[in-house]
Amino acid sequence: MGEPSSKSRREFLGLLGRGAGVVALGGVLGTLILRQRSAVAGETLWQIDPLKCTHCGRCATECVLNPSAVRCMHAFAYCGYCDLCTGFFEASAPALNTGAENQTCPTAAIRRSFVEEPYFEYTIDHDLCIGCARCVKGCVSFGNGSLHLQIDQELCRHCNRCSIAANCPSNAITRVEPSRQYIPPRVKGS
Amino acid sequence: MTTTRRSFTVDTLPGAMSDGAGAQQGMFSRFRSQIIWVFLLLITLVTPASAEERFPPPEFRISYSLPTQQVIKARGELWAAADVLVLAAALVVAAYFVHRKRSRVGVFVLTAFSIAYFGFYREGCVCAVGSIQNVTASLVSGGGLAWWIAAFFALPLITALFAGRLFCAGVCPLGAIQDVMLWRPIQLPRWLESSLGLFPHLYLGVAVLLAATGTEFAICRWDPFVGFFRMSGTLSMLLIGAAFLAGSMFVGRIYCRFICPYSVLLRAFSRFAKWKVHVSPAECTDCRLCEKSCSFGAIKQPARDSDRPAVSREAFRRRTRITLAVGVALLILLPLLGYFTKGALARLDTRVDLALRIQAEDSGRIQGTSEESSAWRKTGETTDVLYARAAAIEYQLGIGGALLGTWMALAITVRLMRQSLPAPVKGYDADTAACLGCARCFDYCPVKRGSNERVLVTTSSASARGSA
Amino acid sequence: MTQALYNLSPVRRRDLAAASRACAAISLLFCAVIAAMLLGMSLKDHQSNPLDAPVIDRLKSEIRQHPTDDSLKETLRKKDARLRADFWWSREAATRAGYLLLAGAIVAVLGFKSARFFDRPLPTLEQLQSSSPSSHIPANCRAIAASSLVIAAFFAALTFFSLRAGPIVPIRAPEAAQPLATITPPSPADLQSAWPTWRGHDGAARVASGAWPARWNAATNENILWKSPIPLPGHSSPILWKDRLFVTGADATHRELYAFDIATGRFLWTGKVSPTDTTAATSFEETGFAAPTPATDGTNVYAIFASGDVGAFDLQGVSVWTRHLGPPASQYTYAASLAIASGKLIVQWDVGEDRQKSASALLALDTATGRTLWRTPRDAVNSWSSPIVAEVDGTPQIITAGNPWIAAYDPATGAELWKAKLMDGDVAASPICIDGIVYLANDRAIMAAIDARKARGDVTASAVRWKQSDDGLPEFISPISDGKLLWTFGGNGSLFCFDTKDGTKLWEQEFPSIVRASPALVGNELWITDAKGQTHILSTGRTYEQLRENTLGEPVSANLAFAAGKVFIRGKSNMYCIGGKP
Repeated sequence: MGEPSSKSRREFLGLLGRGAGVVALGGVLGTLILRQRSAVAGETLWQIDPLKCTHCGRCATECVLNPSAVRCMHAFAYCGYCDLCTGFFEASAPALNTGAENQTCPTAAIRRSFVEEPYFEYTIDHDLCIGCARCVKGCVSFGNGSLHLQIDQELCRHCNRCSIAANCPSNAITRVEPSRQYIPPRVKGS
Repeated sequence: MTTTRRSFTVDTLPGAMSDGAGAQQGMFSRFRSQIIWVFLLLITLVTPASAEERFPPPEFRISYSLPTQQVIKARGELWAAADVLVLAAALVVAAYFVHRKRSRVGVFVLTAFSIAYFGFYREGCVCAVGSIQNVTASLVSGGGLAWWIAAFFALPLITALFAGRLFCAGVCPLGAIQDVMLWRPIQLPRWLESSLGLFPHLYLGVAVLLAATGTEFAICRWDPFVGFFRMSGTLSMLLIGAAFLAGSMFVGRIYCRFICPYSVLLRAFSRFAKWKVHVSPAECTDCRLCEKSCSFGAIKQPARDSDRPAVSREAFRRRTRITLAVGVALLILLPLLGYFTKGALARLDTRVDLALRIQAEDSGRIQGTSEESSAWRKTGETTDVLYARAAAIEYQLGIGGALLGTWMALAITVRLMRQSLPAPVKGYDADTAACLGCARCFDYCPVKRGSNERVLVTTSSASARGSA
Repeated sequence: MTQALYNLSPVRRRDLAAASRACAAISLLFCAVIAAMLLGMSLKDHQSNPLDAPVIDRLKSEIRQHPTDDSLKETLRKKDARLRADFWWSREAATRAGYLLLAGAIVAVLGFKSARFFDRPLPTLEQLQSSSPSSHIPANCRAIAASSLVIAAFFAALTFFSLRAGPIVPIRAPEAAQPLATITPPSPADLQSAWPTWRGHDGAARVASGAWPARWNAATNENILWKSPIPLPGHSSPILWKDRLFVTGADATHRELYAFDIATGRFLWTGKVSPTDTTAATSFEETGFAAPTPATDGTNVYAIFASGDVGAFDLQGVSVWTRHLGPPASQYTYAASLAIASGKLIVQWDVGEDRQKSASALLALDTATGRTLWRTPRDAVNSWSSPIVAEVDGTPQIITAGNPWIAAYDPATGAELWKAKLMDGDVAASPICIDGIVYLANDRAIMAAIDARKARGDVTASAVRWKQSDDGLPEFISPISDGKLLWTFGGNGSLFCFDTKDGTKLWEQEFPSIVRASPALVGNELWITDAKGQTHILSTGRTYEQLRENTLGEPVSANLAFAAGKVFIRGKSNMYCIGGKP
């Protein structure tokens, strides 16, 4: 076996291998592209479906960020503007004022302001909220459910594997299309 | 740990402020509130806890416009396209520094850039290593795959097919952060190198299997460095990452060589590379400085008669026979064992976990409910569906486990067989499959490009070439 | 520059190395201090976290016991304020410490690297060459074998664990091979109380007499419970499931499914199906892009559009899957509605104008994933008629009309059960099946009754009870029957009534207005809504008799939907809910 023939054989094998590699990769990508026609593909973002959310409180603790990228948001259109807001006040709160002993929110991120008798407006201070869902629990259990958790898409690191989603008890966190990057609460089905 | 938008001021403390109505509340209102609480409790007990409009939105007498919730949108698709462009550009730059300039300094600068951009700026998501799972999941489920994830998966492999593992050279942030940590590398013995090299195959197989069944994205979950890039993470994650970084101070790129699942694909593809890394631009002088310079065990020894003095034709045949016998034995044993791993693997799946939990609760083995089980019960799904799903996952993991066993048996056999292959090179050179393209050896090689630059290194001038 | 560094004197190099090392060591020490601080903070975190500070809980319960004690409140407020200040401070501090750690680490790495650069001697050539290379092969093989043992042990350990833990679910091993997402089929009672598909669950557009509104008038708001605008136009009819109403709308670039709350008419959500190919789907103006009616199985809602895009959404509007079936070659634009049979989504895909070359087929899609479960080719050219699902002798059949065959299929396998070669021309009216008898009628072809109960194979000669091709052959309005009488709209715009026993014509009445929607039977009344929105209510006696007429004041081309005493009418741009006094 002469030197030149050994070399050319190696080159031929290399070519063959490259060809096989291109075919394999092309096969995978081709299959993906063919499949693509049958499914929505493009950018997707993690988001919480408020209807599936059980406000378990894990959003505050499971996120890779501290504080979490999850925030409470307020759908004012659904809000009853109650004086006794069950999202704002703890159960059996001694008085309906903003004293710390009455508030549900551990970080005092909800601001209560008087609109007119007997209505109060509740706004969330985005920067103070830690996504613990205590107010959401109160609002959904006793009120209209206008307070809801959402992932702040600017804070979110868009992890390939969302650590909150992996630990969500009700699979409420899924990837959604960018057009639905914030999902407002809807009326619950029967 | 993002606090850039947070402005903490003392006046947000409750008690410091009180609103107009709240200040006038006395004993009576407290009493009233108690009644309302009891009433609310009754309502909740009677009506199911669905978020219907219990309190219709008020019609205000004063002019009041509803505040709008300010939402901040994500970066959008254009940025993903930018990431792909940066990746492609980085691969081209790597090719230029490794193959054309043969410059360690250039590769080091690229490494620093990758740590900064793909690592700390883009925070490691999505990376080529993790994209294996997205591609698998998409192939199996038929769900969509964003084009740039496909690009992240394919570009490094295409590069490997033509120009070797340039992605590892200085583009992959996981490799880059280990590379800069290299301090006092020890050379692992060949036998350890070739035996530990099997574990990436195992990791790849398990990760693909778990991604295919939708159980877990194992590569992302156990990514040791992403916690550093995000500058946030659980304590255990950061400690594991720190351990890997500490390890890579002594054992060069410990994750890349013995764990990284993507390395399996890159190795396979780079074997056929058209442009390979050659340590010496001309004839090798057998000084073996490159072997010393390579911290990753990627320098092949030349095939010389002295290398295999004792191997007779008979011994070679015997070894081949033993290898084949071992291969056949593994091909029977590992798929069988692999099939039965399904029970253990299935318990990693939250859907299976839920089915087990419900089963235990229903049979009275566990008292009380978990968040998961009570959330599931609210969906109204029947246990039949739940159990059928869990059983289906276990079934799929059984089939997948058998395939995993087959894959490992083949990987081991091929590796054993490759040991008997003669090295095809004449002098010392880089093993294309193992070479990470770090360009360290170029500085060490006494043979320089162009015959007039050819200098033989002497004992005195050999000191201090290249950076660590 | 690097060359200049190489050429420095040994002493200078040693000094530089020492300086670098010192710098690195200091940075490392700095890093260690910060890391220890961070570690301490993360361990202490749960105490300063206001989420679960025990002291706050204790104070709160004390306040509950002594609600008038203001000093307790004061204590709590102060404590709370401090905890929260600590909380944010620690987060702020952790962020800053993280950056400091990073900076320290960079300096340390660079320091050590430069120290190494300046003081590492390279191995000398003599040393290297003294150790001559030796064969590694046997050692390598042994080590690989050892690794294999480790891997085998890993497998064995998992196997051991699996076997010890037992099977996941001790029931239903044979069902294990089923697809992952199984959808619970709705109960028959649910189906009957809802209006899940085009013309109701059996495609016959019949509801029992009950508390249906007798009169309405949109101009005076009489009995109009609500009216909601539909964003995009379409000829598709509404479908109903429990508290939801679904209807589709589309234009050249958008394909949308809308959900309304039945009780209030509130618009709930829009499901968007992105059209894969907007150029291929040029719509025939009369048909539009949203002529096919959606369908629901109580788990998801499915919608198909003129371009062949199918979308599935759950009842909350979350997209489950979308699928593009390819642009349907259809002369007047694809219009067949979807059907649900035995938990499968049925698509009558009659396309192409050449029988030999057409790709016509009946498709069953997996409701959970959209994958094709079976596909039965059809010898048919493009048609606009919808498949219906009817119980015949207790088993469901999918009954379809096309040119030239009328054919029935088994929902389980897609196998053709029977067929009859009766149709011709452009088939747009759909068949109906009452008590096992299939009635069909089409312009330029035939009107016939087929006994489907014993029918197998080609029944053109055997199972046809009667047929005639003289009167009342409809252009596109589907027939309606109560089992005794059969009403059709002839191509000339007249309403015809036949006896179902033998097909004799009982009467023929010129109808005062153009009708586009197919009629419905409400108890013993025949409801016909014309294109102007007038609903003519006729008696189902053996003679023509109009009982009353109700006004909507908006053009109507979609069929009416009925559920729980309410009537739903899709006007040109609004959805109406009508209820009230019977």
